[in-house]
Amino acid sequence: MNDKIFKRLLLMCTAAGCIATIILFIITMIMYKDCSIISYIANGR
Amino acid sequence: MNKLTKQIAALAAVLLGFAAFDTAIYELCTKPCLPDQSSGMQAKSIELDRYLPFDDASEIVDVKSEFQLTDELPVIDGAAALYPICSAFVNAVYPEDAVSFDGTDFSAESKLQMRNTRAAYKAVVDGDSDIIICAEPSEEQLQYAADNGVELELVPIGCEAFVFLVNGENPVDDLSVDQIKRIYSGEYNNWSQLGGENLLINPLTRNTGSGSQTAMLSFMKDTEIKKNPFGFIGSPIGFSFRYYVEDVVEHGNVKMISLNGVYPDKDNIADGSYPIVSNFYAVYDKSNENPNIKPFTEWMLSGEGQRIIEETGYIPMPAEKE
Repeated sequence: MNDKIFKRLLLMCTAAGCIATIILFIITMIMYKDCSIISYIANGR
Repeated sequence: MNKLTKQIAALAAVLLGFAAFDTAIYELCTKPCLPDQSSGMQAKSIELDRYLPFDDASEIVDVKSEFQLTDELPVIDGAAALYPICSAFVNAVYPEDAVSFDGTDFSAESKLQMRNTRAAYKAVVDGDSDIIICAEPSEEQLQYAADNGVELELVPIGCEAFVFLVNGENPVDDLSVDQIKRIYSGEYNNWSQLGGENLLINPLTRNTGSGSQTAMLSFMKDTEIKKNPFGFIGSPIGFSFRYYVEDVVEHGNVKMISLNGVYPDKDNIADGSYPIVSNFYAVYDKSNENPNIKPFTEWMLSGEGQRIIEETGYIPMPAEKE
């Protein structure tokens, strides 16, 4: 694999990782926005 | 290691790094939201069938009253925390065929419904419910009633302590009313300022229109609630009504804190020494023509009605307490 292809793959992997992180964060926030206040306290610190 | 192997390893390291990071975010966000495993809490919040009327296995207070309603039965509804009282009232006064439950919820024709506070206030204004048993309405709920030309009658039938909760491992056991207000106004943002660990304070709030959020806004009066944007990495404080959390306090990793040195047990609530006690009400539309609404709410204040409230675990109205 030459350096140009490697850099392109590295960039693509990084971009895909960032996008996946943002999507996961949004989905998690939506799914758990009605989290029980009691559960939150009990399972928190 | 040749160049190709190093390149593949670098790509794999990037992907694995993201996977680990995403897993950590998911754990951080969802771990505090895992359902509480306390059976009593589950029953109170979800399992309607454990508090059904006319059921030998029900956990409601089983009182059979001489006062009976036979026709023009008011639809009774209310807050989830007060559902055992609603159900016991129906069990005491209504005929058995007034309630139909399909295994998960009450059917549309059932005279007992359980929509919870926000939907119950809407239902009583819209005419879908005749009497709701709830904490006091929020400004938005009163405005919704006014916008629809409905004047609500609020009959206080019992009372309950408004309590503050922290994690069971939090060393703070007592706060003053002023300290609570300063926490929720953002003045205190670290538990070390209150004798606790060096952890940020995460002051939790509820949905607008829920009974406890309305009570909290009333408690804070004109002081604006400010949430610390980084509080989620700290240790939380929340609020609720005592009955709703007593089981989870007994069996879960949550504790109620004393206010001004007074713990919210039944004796301290009944004698008035606990500083924040809220009434809960039978609420109905003043123009509702159902003839049984007034006699039924008056019965709620009778010895039998108040006995149900007390034996369910709430505090009866002081003047009516036997």
